Amino acid sequence: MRSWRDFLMKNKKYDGVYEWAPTSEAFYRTIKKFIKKEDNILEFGSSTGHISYRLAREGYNVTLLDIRREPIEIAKNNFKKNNVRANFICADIFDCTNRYDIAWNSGLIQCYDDDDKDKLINKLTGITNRVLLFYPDVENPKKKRGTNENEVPGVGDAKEYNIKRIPEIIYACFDEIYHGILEKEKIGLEYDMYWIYAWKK
Amino acid sequence: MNAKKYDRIKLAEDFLLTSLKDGLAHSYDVEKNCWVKPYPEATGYLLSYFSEHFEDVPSQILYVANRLCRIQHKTGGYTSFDDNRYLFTFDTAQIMHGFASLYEKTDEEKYLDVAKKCAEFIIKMQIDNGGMFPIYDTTLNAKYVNKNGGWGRCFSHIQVKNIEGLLLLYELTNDSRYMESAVRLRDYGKKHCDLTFTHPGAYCLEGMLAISEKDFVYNKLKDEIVPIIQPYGFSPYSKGLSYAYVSGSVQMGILLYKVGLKKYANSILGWARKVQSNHNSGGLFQYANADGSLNHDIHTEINSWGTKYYAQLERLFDEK
Repeated sequence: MRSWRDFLMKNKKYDGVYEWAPTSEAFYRTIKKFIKKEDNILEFGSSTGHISYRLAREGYNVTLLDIRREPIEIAKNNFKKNNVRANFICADIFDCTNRYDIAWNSGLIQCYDDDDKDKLINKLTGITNRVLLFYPDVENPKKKRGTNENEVPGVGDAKEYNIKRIPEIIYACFDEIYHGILEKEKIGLEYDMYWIYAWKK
Repeated sequence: MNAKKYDRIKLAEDFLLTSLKDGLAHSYDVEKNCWVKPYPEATGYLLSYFSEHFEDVPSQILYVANRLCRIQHKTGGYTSFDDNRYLFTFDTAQIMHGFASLYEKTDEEKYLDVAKKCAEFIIKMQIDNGGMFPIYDTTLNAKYVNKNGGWGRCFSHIQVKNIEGLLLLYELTNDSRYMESAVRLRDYGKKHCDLTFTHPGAYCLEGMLAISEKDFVYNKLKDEIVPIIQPYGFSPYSKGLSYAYVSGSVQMGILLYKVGLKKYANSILGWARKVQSNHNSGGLFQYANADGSLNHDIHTEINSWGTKYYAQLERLFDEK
């Protein structure tokens, strides 16, 4: 039987619709450690949601949420093309009122200053008891740090802030935390990515 | 038993050396009559103690040092007891101090290497406010903290004690990262020091004293510990409790001595002698009642760390 890794190395695209990189694989594997089949899973700031696509294809109940209309429409088409079911919401995470078993995101938290990080985390505690966040080591000089204050957080060159206080900020709102590193050598980047999983009872 | 001071210290030290089974310090359960809880952290304390107080480090200590070298995780961390999944920052820091002390005594580079690996682990566990993740989960390859997990599992003031090992290692290597980490822990300690319970509170104060915060320690002791010490030396684990965590009491005695509040230190020492006299092993119960007898509420063990602190307190008064 061919492994996912073999499949992806040869095809580069998942089901012909999504690019799949070593970072995608690393995020996917990390997420899988913390989700259960019966979970309602929210990916906020999802963009076109290639990892959520794979999860949905495996039978997970996923919702993609992004403030931008275009990536959500692309995601809808991609999912529909392959008959993969999911929920799609075009909205600001701060306006989200549904509840989820777990909410996750990659590449957004570092685009808020510490006060706004605090607001985001507080918002998340209102919609879920479990969060999983990925963010880059923006302190590494090899990471080209986003500078555009007018860009939507998490998109393109959006300004990136200090990440040092993230564990502390999350600890203030949740009961337990796991904090890990995806090392640059293993994910094909020039800088590490961090992940943080937190939950409250 | 009406032992003289020398005999009391000798009895305690004999207990400590006897507690080393299969290369690790154990506690002794006086009701079950058996040794329990192989404890790497407590073994680290013994490396420090016997390196600092003995001209020739006992062979048993060198044997356990070599055992500890072998069981160090590749990250540099150490387990607590015998659950290999979790590595503990605090425990690793005490072992780091033990190896740094042993290196200082013997000049054996392998001991310094182990201490430096410990330090790498510890520094990686530090967060921006100076506190430290308490646990590393080797299954998930991730740091872990639990807000409701008590002082061993939350972001806790006990980590401030790690300053002692970091500063010793800084003196031995001149690596400024160790000093920087210690300074950040000091800042954390100033904000989060909590003397609600004697034992964890004393850990924090020990670190603060090591980094020259004598006034801070003096004021904390005077305001929060002196008022709970009974005239005959008993100091409860926490205000209002009927029993003491003996190590915590004796740790406070050492701190009181070092900041110049010797009257209270002497009083605690007198009470601790009563505890020691209540068992013929020379060791001190982990939990004792006000009269020095064994308290059965939690467990019935004699431990090595409390006994080690007791021997230290006796030696302090001996030095004058």
